[in-house]
Amino acid sequence: MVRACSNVFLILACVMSQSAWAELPQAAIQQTFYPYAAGTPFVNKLAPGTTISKDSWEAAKDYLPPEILDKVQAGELAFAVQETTNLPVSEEYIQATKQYAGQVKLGADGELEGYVSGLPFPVLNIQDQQAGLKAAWNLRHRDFGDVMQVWNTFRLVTESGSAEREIENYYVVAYGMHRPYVNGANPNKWEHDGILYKEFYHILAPFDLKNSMSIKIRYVRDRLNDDNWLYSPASRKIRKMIIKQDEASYDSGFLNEDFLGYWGYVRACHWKFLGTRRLLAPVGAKVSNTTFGGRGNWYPVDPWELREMIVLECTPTALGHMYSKRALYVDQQMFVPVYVLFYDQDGKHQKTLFELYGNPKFNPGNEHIRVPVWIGETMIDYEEKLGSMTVMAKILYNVPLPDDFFNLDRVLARGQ
Amino acid sequence: MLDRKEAGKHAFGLWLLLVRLFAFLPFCPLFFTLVVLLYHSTNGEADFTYGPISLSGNLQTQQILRHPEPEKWSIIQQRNVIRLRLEYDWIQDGQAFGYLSIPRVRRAHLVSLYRGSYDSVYDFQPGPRQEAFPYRGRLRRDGKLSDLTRGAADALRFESIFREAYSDIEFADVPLTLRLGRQMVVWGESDNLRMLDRTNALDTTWHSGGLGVETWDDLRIPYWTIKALYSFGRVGSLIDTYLETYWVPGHWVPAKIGFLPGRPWGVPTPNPFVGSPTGGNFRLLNRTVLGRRGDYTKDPGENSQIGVRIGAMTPQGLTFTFNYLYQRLSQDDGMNTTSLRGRNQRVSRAFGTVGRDRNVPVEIARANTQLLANGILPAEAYYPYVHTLGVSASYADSTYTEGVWRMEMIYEFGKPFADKRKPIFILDEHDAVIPSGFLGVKKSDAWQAFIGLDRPTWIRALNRRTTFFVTSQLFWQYIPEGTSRFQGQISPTDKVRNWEVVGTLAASTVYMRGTLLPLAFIVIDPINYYSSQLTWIVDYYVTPSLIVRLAQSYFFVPGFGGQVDEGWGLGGLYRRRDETVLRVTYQF
Repeated sequence: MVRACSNVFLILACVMSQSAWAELPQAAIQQTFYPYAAGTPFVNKLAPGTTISKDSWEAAKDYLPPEILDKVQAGELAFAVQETTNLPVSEEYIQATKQYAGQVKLGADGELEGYVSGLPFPVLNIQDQQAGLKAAWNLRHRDFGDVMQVWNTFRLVTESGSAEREIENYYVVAYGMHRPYVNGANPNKWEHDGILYKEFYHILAPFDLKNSMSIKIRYVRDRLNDDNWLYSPASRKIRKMIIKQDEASYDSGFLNEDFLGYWGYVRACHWKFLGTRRLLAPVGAKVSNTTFGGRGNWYPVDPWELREMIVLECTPTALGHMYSKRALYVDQQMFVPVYVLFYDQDGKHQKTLFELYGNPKFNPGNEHIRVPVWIGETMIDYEEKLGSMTVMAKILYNVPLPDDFFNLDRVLARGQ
Repeated sequence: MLDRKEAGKHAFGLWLLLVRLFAFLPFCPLFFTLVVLLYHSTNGEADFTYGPISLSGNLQTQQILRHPEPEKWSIIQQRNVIRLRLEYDWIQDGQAFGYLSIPRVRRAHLVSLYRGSYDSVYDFQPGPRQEAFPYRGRLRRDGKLSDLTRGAADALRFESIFREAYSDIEFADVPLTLRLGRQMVVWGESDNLRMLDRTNALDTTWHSGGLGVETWDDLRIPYWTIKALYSFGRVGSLIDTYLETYWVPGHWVPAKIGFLPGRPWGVPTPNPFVGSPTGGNFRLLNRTVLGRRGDYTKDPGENSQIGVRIGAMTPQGLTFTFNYLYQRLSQDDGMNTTSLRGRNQRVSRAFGTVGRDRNVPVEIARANTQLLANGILPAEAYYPYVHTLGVSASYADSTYTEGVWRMEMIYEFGKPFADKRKPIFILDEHDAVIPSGFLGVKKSDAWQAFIGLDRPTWIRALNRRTTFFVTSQLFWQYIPEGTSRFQGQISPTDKVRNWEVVGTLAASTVYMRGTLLPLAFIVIDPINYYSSQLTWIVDYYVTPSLIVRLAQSYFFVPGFGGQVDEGWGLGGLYRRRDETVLRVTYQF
């Protein structure tokens, strides 16, 4: 009898819980996407125009993670403060969040259930044991637009500022699932195959790597591994590859899963939500191309601003992983990591990654885009004394590509 | 700032100028200088991009030192190469050169790759005498570079050629891409095994001493070709289905061969055609030339090569192709076939008989002998058409083996083998009938296949940041005919076997922030005394533009000192060709 009552109670509790989620307060969602609607954050000693440097770091001590503050104190980095920029993602994405977030939940296997589009879990509660995992899913389904095309140069830069390797790229990521409808059109062309997104990567220079190409398919089910193909001009063949997410890409500072803050499998970490903070971050720069400076020219030195941030910890599940943990500082409004701190197996701060998103109004061709507009990235490896940097030449969002753009035979046709 | 139309005109003009320039420009050091100056006059970009046109390339110098014994080193190659690659988007969004409307064409892209080389070893002509297979000490030392006449050295010293010059044309309304022009067609899944990758024959005068020193990109002979690729997209449950076909309309040539002493890095044998009684080299019947052409004209009617393949991916992730090729056999796939067909001369009178060789027509032997006296061998270069059916596939097993499985196999119909039962007879000085050494041909089908596994593998004790890419291949071939009547091509003792097997194992990784790239591999032939090749290569990027390569190849037959007749180019054929390579490349 007691057991039966207990079961009834559990069912009721579940129903109530479902009901509570279904009635996610729209105001809370609105607050997630428009945290500065009531006014931009203001701190007296961090007024726009303030310079933060080794000689004037005190004002920032509560607004920077200690690991970054250390670098400021050491004179490695200095920047000015600017007023916080309102950078909302697309209205369709926000509306989809409001419409569907209430039905999203985590399955027993940690996969998403009931997800349609938008941010899966717009409201995170630090009391929720699964908040970290939910935030990881938010990262997976952040609004990057339907298609992003980037022309950039990837540089490995030593402390002296000289480039050890330099690779010019054309990179495309296109989503084919869980994108909100725009003007009634369904952009989700890969639902049938369960493909969340596809990536195309084409090396434009130097000569020895020129016309190397790769295709990656990321499946919507996190338990499925990516499919990767590589076209090598040396062999003139396209070859299926298994890419280890936890290895350094070309022995640079980046592991394959490090790009864009975190680009690996959700299952590859134990996720922990550490709460929210108001922090200074290199966001909203009024440039289309990040200005790098400081030690080794590794640091983003365009003005930083106060942002509402979510702090997320990722402890890798793989044995022998290079990191003991990562701390991701995720911009609440755009839900993109803007800096990530990496710790080695001894718990020592080993690397810092800055992912840089600018103010679209200052990005020619993207002035009216409402997605996080990427303007560069830099991974600083203190152990190796190396900066691994992506320097932008051009970026395009939501420009449609031919349907067969990612087909393997298209890669063959382009292969030289 | 030029507008797009202007840029298009300028780019087209520049391309025409370059084509003309390279077609007639004698290769000279001044040209290197110009290119270097041009580089330094720019702002340091990795290549030159000028609107829709881009120019990139490299300058390379390579020294090969041969050391058959630890204390015996000699330089055998000092090659200086320039490669220039011009790419030009001459049609973009249906507009040619920025101003001419081309309906139904979405994009056209021109690629032109020039290669010029200067083998300076022909200038200083170092010794010592070169050793030829089967490496029997002084008895088999066949010439040295200084034996070359000035004319012969001049003929070999330079190369100046547009290796590739083609345009891709992508149509707007149909999912069709054409590639028209001089190009290479590379199919299949294997690394350095010539199964489906057989469209373009190899130029072994560039290098033939073992795998790895040169890329096959530099070895393949490009042909003027029409290639088409049609995308079907999804067909039933199959994904990315496509059909690709090509036609080489007459320009095809077989594998090119270079002999000692002129090509110390070529096949390890002296020119077998020397010593004609009429002076110079012996010729072959029907004006055929070994390594150049058989008894056909180089026109579409007699020398077309075609191939077609269908490829797709299954929903389970298995990618596959089905292939059919109808080509002349280029004699570079490692199989012990022959490209020299002995031909008895026709005689009009009744046959006679002589001695024990009751069936041998002495008149034919006499006619063959007369032919030799005229400086013509009773044989012809023979490159027959062969039908080839093939399949290739790959599958990533990320659960159990955590690797990618690859396979490829072909079945060929009617490959030519030298037939010991079809000797070509001549008369000796006593008018006795004796075998000439040339043999007629018998055809047989052949099956070749390989299975391979690629696996990124953590060996953290050696590299804690990057995996080792380990790739292995097991190759085999089978000749269903009885092979006892077949004669191998390596030597008179060379047997053609029904089964041959070769295994390869390679590992590579990345160190020092992508600036140090080591690779090592071993190739083993277990059928022929475990004849092997072991090679290591290290590329070091001094700067992003300056690359130094150090490599060594060792050829050995473990525990066996005798002659090993094998056609794979391992420890048997190249036993005394251990080499060290130093290469410096400057790329832009």
